[in-house]
Amino acid sequence: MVIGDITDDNGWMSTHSASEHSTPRHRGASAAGYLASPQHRVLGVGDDLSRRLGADHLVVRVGLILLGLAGGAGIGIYFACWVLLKGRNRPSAKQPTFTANLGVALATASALAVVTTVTTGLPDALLWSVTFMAFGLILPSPLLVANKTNGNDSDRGNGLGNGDGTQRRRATLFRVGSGSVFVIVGLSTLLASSQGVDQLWRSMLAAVVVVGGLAMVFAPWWTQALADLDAERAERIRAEERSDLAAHLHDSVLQTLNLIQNRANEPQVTAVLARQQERELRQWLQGTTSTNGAHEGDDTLRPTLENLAAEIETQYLSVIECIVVGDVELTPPVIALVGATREALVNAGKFADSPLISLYAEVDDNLVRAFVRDRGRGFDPATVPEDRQGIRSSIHGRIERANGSTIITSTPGQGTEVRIEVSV
Amino acid sequence: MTTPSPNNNGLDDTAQNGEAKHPQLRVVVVDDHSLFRRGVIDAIKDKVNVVGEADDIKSGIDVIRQHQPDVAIIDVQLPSGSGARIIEALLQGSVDPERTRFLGLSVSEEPTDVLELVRSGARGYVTKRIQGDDLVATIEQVAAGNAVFSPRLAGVVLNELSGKTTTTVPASSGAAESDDPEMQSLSPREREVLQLLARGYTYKEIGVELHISARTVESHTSSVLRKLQLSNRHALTHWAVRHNMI
Repeated sequence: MVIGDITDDNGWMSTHSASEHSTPRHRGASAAGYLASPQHRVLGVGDDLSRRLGADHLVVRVGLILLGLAGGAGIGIYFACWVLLKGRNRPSAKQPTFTANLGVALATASALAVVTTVTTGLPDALLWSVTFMAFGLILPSPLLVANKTNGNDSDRGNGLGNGDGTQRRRATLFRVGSGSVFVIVGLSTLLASSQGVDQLWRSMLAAVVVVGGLAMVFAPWWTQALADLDAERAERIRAEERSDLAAHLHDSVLQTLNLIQNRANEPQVTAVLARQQERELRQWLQGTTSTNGAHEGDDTLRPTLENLAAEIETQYLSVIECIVVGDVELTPPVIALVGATREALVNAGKFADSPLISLYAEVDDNLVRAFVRDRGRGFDPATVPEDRQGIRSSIHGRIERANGSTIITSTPGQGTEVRIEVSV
Repeated sequence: MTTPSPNNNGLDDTAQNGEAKHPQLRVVVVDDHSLFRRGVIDAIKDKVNVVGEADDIKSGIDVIRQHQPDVAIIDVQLPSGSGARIIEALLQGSVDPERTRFLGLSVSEEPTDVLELVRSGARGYVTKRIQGDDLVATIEQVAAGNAVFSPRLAGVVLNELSGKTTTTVPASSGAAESDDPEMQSLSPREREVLQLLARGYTYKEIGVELHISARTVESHTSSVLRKLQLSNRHALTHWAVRHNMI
């Protein structure tokens, strides 16, 4: 479209005509809108500059673009300003004044004059390639930026990943599409403008140099931005875990500590509370650190007995040391053993008045044994009243039906041991 | 360094009779939890001579090497790793294993943690729930060269060394020694002793139950400990080095 104009050997004239004709035609009515609107920005330099200079966005941006067309000086200024202004506070927006606008326009014009004087020797094609790259950098970005500003700051972490789907996809499509158009236009401009193969190579080389330079300048920033993103994401995950942990500790441990403080004069109660909390915390820690054990469920002997011990501990305020060697499925005889063990533990908890009850169970080939021992007051088995059904039916009877055996030994003053044995 | 001999002389007496008054035992406590360390020291300082304390692996190694205590109480979980590292490092030759004994102290009841410490060379292991007097008795036992088996540790060992039953320990830690037939199994007597320990019996009660002396019970537990430690490659080298040098 504008290719014909470039036969002119005046670089300034050709770029000038490009900016007049091709810009509006390419972008349509919305281009002016983008340029004038402070919301749409590449790196925010135009906005920043216009605020600092007190000039209109439109004027500053057009000036930058014009300078950009003139041998890429505008691009250089743009990024130089970006680097210099980065991290500084953005001044608040002021009403643009005519003098400031005029000043910017004059500064642009004089810069253009300087640049054109200096660069007339350069091939037009180089200017054009830079021009198109400038467009390539500026044009698609308003959409991307618009996308970004839709979300709040914390959403930036998702910028590269899963965003709000269709809009992002459309933006990408637009970016790739317009980028491709620019590449094609740029290449055809090169081809048409070159007088011969010789000059084509020179122009291509120049373009490659420019692209390489840009890459060199921005690669570290880009990688840094990616690294920041990763770090931010990891930090967020950590923070979530921390708050999980804090919530858990608050709900359980702190509550228990409060309880313990309130009942400090009841050692047995505090011991059991502490035990209970300890068990809970252990389970919780194991649950998060390993799947081992948690998945076994309660369908085998070991977890069943451990839960049983915990339950009796809470109920009778005794401390039960539960040790299980081996494990076995809960078949009917094993269930009978668990039932009898429960009764033995309950008896020990209720009557023995023992600070510690030992529960030991082992699985050996096809024999399962359980031992419940306390160091409490003990009793004489011969003197247990007939009406006390606990030992008689719940322990002996149950185990006999399962073809097992029970032995109860007790010495008054020294404690009791109940031995239960069944075969699987 | 200063008093090399009296403790060795007292060994047999204290083994038979924990109450015997013997020269004050020199003890080092390594635990990263300062409040807890304070508590341990307060609980035992009337009965033993606490000569040093440390809160991590490096300072633990230094303090124990410097003081050569009779007993070093070592927390299983230290900030920079397992307390077993301390024992391993010191047993490379910095301390005399016949003179300085190690006792594990842990809040963890994870079989892997417990076993690691015992295998590295600790004479035993107690949980942090232990009461002051029991801890003193345990320290005396350890100083006498005896193994200290809590019911929990007995259960862990039974799970680990009884080849027949399912073990709670991950295969990785049990794989190395399963090649060695001697390490694989406990003798029937050792098994009985461990079972009674797990059932909550004291050494004395076990002796009565099995019609053997408490001393014999101790020799059984010590031999179990040796089997455990020999099943550790590191311990094996320590053992070999020690015996070649004697």
